[in-house]
Amino acid sequence: MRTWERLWAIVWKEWLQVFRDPSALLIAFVFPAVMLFLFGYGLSLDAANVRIGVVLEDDAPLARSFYHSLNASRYFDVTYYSSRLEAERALRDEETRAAVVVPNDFSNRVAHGEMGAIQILTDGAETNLALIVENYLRAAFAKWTSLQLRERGAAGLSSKVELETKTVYNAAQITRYSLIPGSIAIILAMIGALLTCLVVAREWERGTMEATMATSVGKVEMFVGKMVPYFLLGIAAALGAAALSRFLFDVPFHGSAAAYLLTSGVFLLVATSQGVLISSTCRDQSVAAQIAVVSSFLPNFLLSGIIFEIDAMPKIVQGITYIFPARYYVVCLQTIFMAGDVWPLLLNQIGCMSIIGAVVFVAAVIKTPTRL
Amino acid sequence: MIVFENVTKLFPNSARPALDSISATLRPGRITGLVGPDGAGKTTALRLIAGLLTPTSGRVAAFGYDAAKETKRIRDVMGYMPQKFGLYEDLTVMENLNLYAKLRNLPRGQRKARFDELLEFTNLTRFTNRLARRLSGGMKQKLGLACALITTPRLLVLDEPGVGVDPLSRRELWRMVNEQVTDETVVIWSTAYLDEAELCDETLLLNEGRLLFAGAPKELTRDMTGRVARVLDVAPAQRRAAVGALSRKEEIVDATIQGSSIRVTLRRAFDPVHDPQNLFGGRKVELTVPRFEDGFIERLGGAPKDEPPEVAPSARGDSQDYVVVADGLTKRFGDFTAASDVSFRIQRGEIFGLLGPNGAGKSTTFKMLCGLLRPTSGDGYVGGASLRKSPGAARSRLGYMAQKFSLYADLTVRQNLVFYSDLYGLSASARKTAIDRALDEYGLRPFERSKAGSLPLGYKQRLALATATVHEPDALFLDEPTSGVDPIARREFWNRVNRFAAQGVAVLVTTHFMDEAEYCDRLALILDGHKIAEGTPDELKASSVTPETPDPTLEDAFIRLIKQSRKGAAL
Amino acid sequence: MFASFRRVRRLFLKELAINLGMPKMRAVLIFPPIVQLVMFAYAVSLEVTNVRLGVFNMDAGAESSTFLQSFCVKPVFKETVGYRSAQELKDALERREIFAGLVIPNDFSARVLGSGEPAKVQLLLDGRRANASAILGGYVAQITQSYGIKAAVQSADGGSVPTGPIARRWFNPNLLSRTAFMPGLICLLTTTVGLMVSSFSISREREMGSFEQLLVSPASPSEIVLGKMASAVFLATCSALLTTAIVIFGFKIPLQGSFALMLGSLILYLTSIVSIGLMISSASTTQQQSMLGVFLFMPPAIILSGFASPIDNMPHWLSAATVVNPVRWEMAIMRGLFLRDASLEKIALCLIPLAAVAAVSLSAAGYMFRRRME
Repeated sequence: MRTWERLWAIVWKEWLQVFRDPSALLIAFVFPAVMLFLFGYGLSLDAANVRIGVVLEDDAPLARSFYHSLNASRYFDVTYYSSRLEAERALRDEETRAAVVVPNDFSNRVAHGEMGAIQILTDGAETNLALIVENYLRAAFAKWTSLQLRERGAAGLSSKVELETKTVYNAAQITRYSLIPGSIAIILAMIGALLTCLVVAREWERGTMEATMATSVGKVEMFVGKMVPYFLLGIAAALGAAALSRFLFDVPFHGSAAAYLLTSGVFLLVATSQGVLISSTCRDQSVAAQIAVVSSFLPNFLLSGIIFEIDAMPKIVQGITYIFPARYYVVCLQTIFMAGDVWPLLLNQIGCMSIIGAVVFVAAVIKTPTRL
Repeated sequence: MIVFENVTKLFPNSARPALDSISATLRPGRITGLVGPDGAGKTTALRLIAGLLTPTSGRVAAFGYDAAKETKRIRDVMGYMPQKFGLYEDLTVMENLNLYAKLRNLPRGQRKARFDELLEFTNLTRFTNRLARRLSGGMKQKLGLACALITTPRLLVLDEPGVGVDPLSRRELWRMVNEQVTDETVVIWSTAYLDEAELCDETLLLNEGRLLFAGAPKELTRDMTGRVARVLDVAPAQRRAAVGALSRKEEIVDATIQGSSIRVTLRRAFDPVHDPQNLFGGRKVELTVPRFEDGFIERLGGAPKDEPPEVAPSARGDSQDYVVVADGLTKRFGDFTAASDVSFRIQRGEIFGLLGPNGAGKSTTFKMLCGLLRPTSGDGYVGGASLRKSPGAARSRLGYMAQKFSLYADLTVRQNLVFYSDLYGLSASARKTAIDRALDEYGLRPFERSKAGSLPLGYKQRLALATATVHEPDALFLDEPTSGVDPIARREFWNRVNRFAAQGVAVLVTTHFMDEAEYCDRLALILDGHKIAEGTPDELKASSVTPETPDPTLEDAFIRLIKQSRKGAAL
Repeated sequence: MFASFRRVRRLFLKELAINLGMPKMRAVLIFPPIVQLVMFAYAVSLEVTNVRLGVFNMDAGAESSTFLQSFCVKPVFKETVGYRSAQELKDALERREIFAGLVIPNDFSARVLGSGEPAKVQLLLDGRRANASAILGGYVAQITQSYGIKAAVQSADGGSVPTGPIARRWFNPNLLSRTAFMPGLICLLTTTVGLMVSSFSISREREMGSFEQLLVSPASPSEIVLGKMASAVFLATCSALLTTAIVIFGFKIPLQGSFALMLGSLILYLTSIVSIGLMISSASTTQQQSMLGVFLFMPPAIILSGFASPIDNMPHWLSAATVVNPVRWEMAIMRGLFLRDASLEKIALCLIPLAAVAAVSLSAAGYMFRRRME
C-alpha cells in the first residue's frame, strides 16, 4: 500500500519534471522527428535513375535499339558519349556511376544469331551501387538479347529458363521501406538511454538523489518510479514515429497497432533499464553520458542489420550483435510494417529481447544505489 | 540516541581517513552541533547516520538500530536535509511538500493540517505555487527544512543549513529547529560557522577527521576565562603592523583585528590593568568573553607566527590613489536586476570587504569589477584602466582568487605557475624570480612537481594566492577566499593578505563570515542588488547601538540593516 | 603582437599538457579510434552472403537438381532447404527462416530438354531487406541465365557457351566493402576525436573553475579560442594519422593520392570540426550539456555525409543542404585520395567549400565565446 503510494509519488514527480524541463521534451519529441527525417530523406540505397554513360562504337540500328531499351528503363538516366575516352572521364569524375560500351561488331554478331558482347564499367568506390547497377545492366541486356534472338529464330542461344522474380512485401524493392522502420529502433534506443541518463545525472547534480535516498524509498520503487515516465514518453515517441513513417514517408503498415506497441514496449523496457543501469554504475555523470551516447548510436546503427547485413559479418561480430536488442527489434519493425503480424516470428524476437531485458533489469535494480 | 562506536571511514584513493576512530553519543532533547571546517568529516558523519555510507570499521547506531544494516528502520523516523539544496527545483513548494509527505509515509488524512502548520511556520504560505527554483536562498533552506520536518521526525539531520544564507534567515532557521526539539528528538546541525556552534546545546568539534572536542560549547572555553582581551583604539594605519607584532610574541596564542581593536588570546591568565610583561606597550586593554573559535585555535596549538613584511609600505606610490573604482555598476539579466548602481572606491593598501548573502548581488558586482561580466551600465576601473574601454590593461593589473580552487588540477604546481607568468607576459628572468619566490615563500617547494589537484586543501589555497600574485598586481580580488578552511589556515592566509596590503596592494574581498569582515578596513553591505551600507566595521556597529544591544556584533548590525532596508522596500 | 603570440603559444602548450596529462583523455585519443576502426572494418559490409535458399521443387526430373546444384556458390549461399508446398515456402519466408525461395514447376525438366517455350521459375525475395533482396535477385538472375544458356547450347548440338557482358569495376575490382568504407571510417573516427577534444575543453574548465581564472588574465578571448583550437587540431590530427597508418599498413589499403594533400585537408577539416566543438563548448555550462550538443550534431552530420548511402540518392533540397556539412567534403576527399586517385582539381573543388565552412565556424566559435561572457 505504502509502496504503491511512494512509487506513484516518484512517477508523478518525474512526470511533472518532464513537462517543466524543455530539454526532456526536446529529446522525447523533437529529436526523434528530426532523426526520422534524416533517415527518411538522407539514407537511401535505391538504385533508381542511376546516371550511366553509353558509348555506341557500333552505330547500326540494332545497337541503337539496345540503347533505346536502356533509355526506357526507369533504373537508368542515360547519357550518350561519343567515345570510350569521354565515357571513362565521366565515370572518373563521378558524373556517371557506370558506363556501357557497345563494341563495333555488336549488331553484326546479333544479326548472325550470336550474342553481342558489351562491356560494363562501374564505379567500384560505391560498391553497393556498382553491384546493383551491374546486375540491372546484365538483366536488361539478357532480356533484350533473348528477345532479339528469338525474333531471329536463334533459339539455341536463348535461355531455357526464365526467371520470374517476385519481391514479397516490397515489390519495388524500395530501400526506404526497410530503412525507416529500422531507424525507429535507433531513435528509441537513443532516447531511452539519453533520457534516463540525463534524469539520474540531474538528481546527483542537484543533490536531490541524496535527499530521496534518505527517505523510506526502496530500491525497486526508486528504479521503477524513474523508469515508468520515460518509458511512457518513449511509447509516445514510438507512436509519433510510426505515424510519421506511415503518413509522411508512405511506408506501408500492414501489422496491427497492438503488435507494434507490444514489441516497442519490450524494446523500450530494455533501453530505459539500460540507461538507468549506465547512470547508476558510473558515478561520474559525464562518463555516463558518454557511455550512453557511444553505446546507443553507432553500434545500433552499424550492428543491428538496418543497413549492413549481419549475415555478412565475421562470426565474432555476429556474436556481438546478439546482445543488442535493436537487432531483434529491427526484425519486428520491418515485419510489422511490411509483412504484418507474423506472430511466430515476433514472439521469437520478443523472447530474445525479454531475456536481455531481464538481465539488464535485474542488474539495474541491483545497481540502483540506496547508499552514496 | 545516536552512538558512534570507534567509527573510521576511509575513502578509496585518499591517504587520510575522512573520519578517524570517532566515538561519541548524541542525546535526545537537544541540538547537537557538528562543527568544523570543510573536509573535517562533518558530512561523512551525517551520511553514516543516514545509512548513505557505511563505515570502514566501527559502528553507528541510532535508537538501537545499526545504521549500516537496519538502514530502513532509521530512515523511517528520520528527517534529512542534505548540504546541497535537496529539493526539486522544477516543482512548486506544494508539490515538494506533497512528494516528501508521500515518500515519508505521512498518512493522507494528516497531510493538510501538517502542511498548513509548516507553511505558516516557515512563512511560505503565500508561495505555495511558486517553483522552488524561484525562491530566495533563505526561503529554499526553510522549505528544505519543512520537507525534512514533514513527519515530525525523531531524528533530524541537517547538513549546514545556514551556509550562504543571510543572517536574518539563519536566525529564523535556528528558531524553527529549536521549536521542533522535544524530549525525544535528536537534532544534529552541522556548521562551519564557529559562532553558530556557540548556540548549540552540545557540540562535536571535528578537524581533519578527528574529534577534537565533545561537550557543551562553554566547556571548550571554560579554562580560557581571563585569557582573552581586546586592545582598544588602535589607529587604522598601525593596526596591521600591531597585529603582526603581537602575534609573534611568545605569550600570545592568537591575535586578530576586530574593527578598531585587536583581539588577543594569551597563554596565561592576564591582568589587563597592569600588563606586567608590558605586552601591549601601554595601550588600553580590557578582558572579554572567550569564544568558541578561541578554544578551537588553542586545541590546534595556537595561531601561526607571522613573518615581517619585506617591502616598505610606501613602495607603490601615493596612498591617496584609488586603485579600484566601482562607478554605478549595474547588471541586468533580462528583467532581473542582479546589481543596481553599486559604487565604491578602494585605496592603495586598503582591504575592502563586500558582504551579503548568496544571491544578493555580491558576486555579480565582484565579477563585473574583475572583468568577468560586462556591466549593463556603469563602469569599473582597476589601476586607472577602464574595464569597458581597455579590459586587457585592467585585467593585467589585477590578481584574482576564486572561491573554488580554480587552477589546473591536472597540471603540476610549477606548470601552473609557469602558465600564468607567461600569460601575464613576464620575461624569462622575471618569471624565474617570481616562480622561485612563490615556491619558497608559500612553502610549495616540496610539491613543485605534484599535480595541483592532489595538494591538501590548505596548500591549494596557497598556490592559488601565489598564482594570483605572480605578476605583482595593484589590486587583489578575493572571492570568499577562506570559506571552509580551518581557523589556523585562515589566520595564515590573512597574514599574507595583510602583508600585500602593507605593500600597497588594494584588496577587495567577499565573505559571509562575520568575524572575517572584521579584518577589513571598510565594508559594503549588498542586499537585493543594492548597496545598503558602507563604512568601517566600527561605524557599522556603532550605527546599530540600541538599548537592548549596547555592544552589537557585526552580525547584529547586519541584521538590523537588512530589516531596515526590507522595511524601506515594503513601504 | 609578440606578447599575444607568446600567450597563444603558452595556451597551446597548456592544453596539450592537460590533455596528455589526463589518463582518461589519453585513452580517448588512442583506444576508441583503434577499437572502432577494427570493429567497424569487419561490420561494415553491404555484401549478401550466407543466404538460406528455400526451394519448392515440383519437378521430378534430373534437370531441376542440376539447376539447384548451380546455387552451391559459397559464400553467397549457405544452403538450400526443400519445402513440400508453396504455402510452406511462403511461411518460411515470412518467418525469415529463409531469405529467398525458388518455385520450380513440374514441367521444368521437360521444358529445359524440349525445344519449345523456356521453363518458368519463380523467385520469391524477402522485401523487408530491400537492398539485400535487390542484390540477391541479381545473383539468382545471373545463375539462372547462365544455366539456361548452357542448357540451350547443349540441347542445340553443343558448341561453345557464349560469354555475357564483360564487367569491369574501377577503383575496387572485387567490390570489397571494406576497401570502399575504410577511408570514410577514418573520416568518421577523426570527427569523433576532434569533437571530443574540443567540445569539453571550455565546459570542463567552467566546471572545474579554472575558466574564470583564465578570463581575468590578460589573455583575450580570441587568444584563448586560438590556443584551444590549435591544440585540439594538433591532437586530433595525430590521432587521425594513427588511424590512417593502421588502414594503410594494417588493412593494406593503399593511399593512391598525395599524402601532403591528405594531411592538409585533414588539418583544414579538423579546424572546422574543432571550431564546431568549441562552439558547442562555449554554449554549454556543464560537460553534460556539451555531450548533448555533440550528440545532436553527430548523427545528422554522419547521415548527411554520404558515408552510408550516396548523396545523389537524397532529395535535391537535402543534398543541397549537405553543402554546409564539413564531413561531406572530407569524406569525398578521403575517398578520392584513397580509392579514386582523384586529380588535384577534384580535391580542390572539395577543399574550397571545406575552407569556407572552417572559416565560418571558426568565427562563429569566437563570437559564441565572446557572447557567453556578457
